[in-house]
Amino acid sequence: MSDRTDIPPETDPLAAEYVLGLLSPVERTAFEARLRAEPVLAKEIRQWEVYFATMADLEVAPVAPPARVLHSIEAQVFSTETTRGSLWDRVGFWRGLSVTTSALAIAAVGFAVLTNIQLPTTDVPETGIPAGTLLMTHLVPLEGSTLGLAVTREPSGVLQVRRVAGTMAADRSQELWVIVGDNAPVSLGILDDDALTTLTPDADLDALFTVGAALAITDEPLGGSPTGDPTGDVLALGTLVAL
Amino acid sequence: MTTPQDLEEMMARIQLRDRSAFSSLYSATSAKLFGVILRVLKDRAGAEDVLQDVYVKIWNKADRYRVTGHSPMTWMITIARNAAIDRLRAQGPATDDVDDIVTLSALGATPEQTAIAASEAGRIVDCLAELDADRANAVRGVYLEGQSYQDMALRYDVPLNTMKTWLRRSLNSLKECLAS
Repeated sequence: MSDRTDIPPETDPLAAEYVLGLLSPVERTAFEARLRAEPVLAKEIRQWEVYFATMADLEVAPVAPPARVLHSIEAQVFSTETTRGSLWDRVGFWRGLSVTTSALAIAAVGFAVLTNIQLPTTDVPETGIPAGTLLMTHLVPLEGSTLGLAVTREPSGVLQVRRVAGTMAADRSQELWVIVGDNAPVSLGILDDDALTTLTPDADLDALFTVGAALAITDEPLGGSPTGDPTGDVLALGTLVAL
Repeated sequence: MTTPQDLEEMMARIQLRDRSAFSSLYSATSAKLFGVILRVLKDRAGAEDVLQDVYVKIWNKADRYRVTGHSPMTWMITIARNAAIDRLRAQGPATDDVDDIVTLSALGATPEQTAIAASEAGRIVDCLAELDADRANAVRGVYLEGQSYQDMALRYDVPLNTMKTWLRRSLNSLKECLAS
């Protein structure tokens, strides 16, 4: 690439040219090969993306699109899904919540000490956990709540539910549920007013604790759901991972 | 006024297939994205098509957004700009999405890193103002109008290699200003 010789290699603005789409196919392929070996280039790419997107954000005037665009989008993205239903009707989806949600929850509750933990990416057994495994999850706030919780299941089966953000309304209860696969949510109990709630599920309930099972907190009348099924908003949600 | 935190929460809820959050995100961001796409394409009908594709992609790829380490706005503008450029260069190579690049590099930014970048990102405008107007407009022309080195060499009536050298020096000046 003789036309690059006028720029010293250390200041060659390849990452910017890559983001702008200015590289020739040959230069592009060569640059992508370097990306794998030189993480600093990936960081440069992300920074240029931020700078250029910010330039567009600050300098380009907004133009309201016609209403028909939103209608077309909604027809396209919602057509393959059920037309109505709360989160509870879509529990099957919850199994899909895994690393991303857990990582998000860690960020959301600001659990700095836990940010270096490597979350498992693929190994999600259908049933059973090895003896001595510590299961945990961070529950991400939902439905406009500010509730953040960290839940750990100790190898003994004892459940520690720690409220790290948000509070309890005086005239309402917060109820903890476990959801396995497409099954209905099963109540684990009501949270204490204190920041820490300790629960000891019986053997039948404890058997539901597996990697990939979802935990959720709902807003319920004082004393918990009158029906045995969740009745209120889902305030927080997370998926169990093994530590 | 929608804050970056509001957009983050909308993205978290969209990951859970929350349609009302998707509608809120559209209300809060579609005019900005439509403005960017129109600036690239200068064609309303084409821009409407691209805007539609972009929001379908946002819905479908919401779970990939966080691995990029970007703010929701940076992520969405990057998707919108690249989709518009791809349309413009319908015969050319596709412009990589930001999450594809991250996959390629197998490296995600932490939210902390992104926060630092976002707080300083507005300096791009000041740094562009420090360049000669021609040079700053050339950079804008490439990002917002998808111009190639060939296009710019014609526009400024200089040889291709001169144009390349000229723009690379502009990018290096920008880089120095942003790093200072």
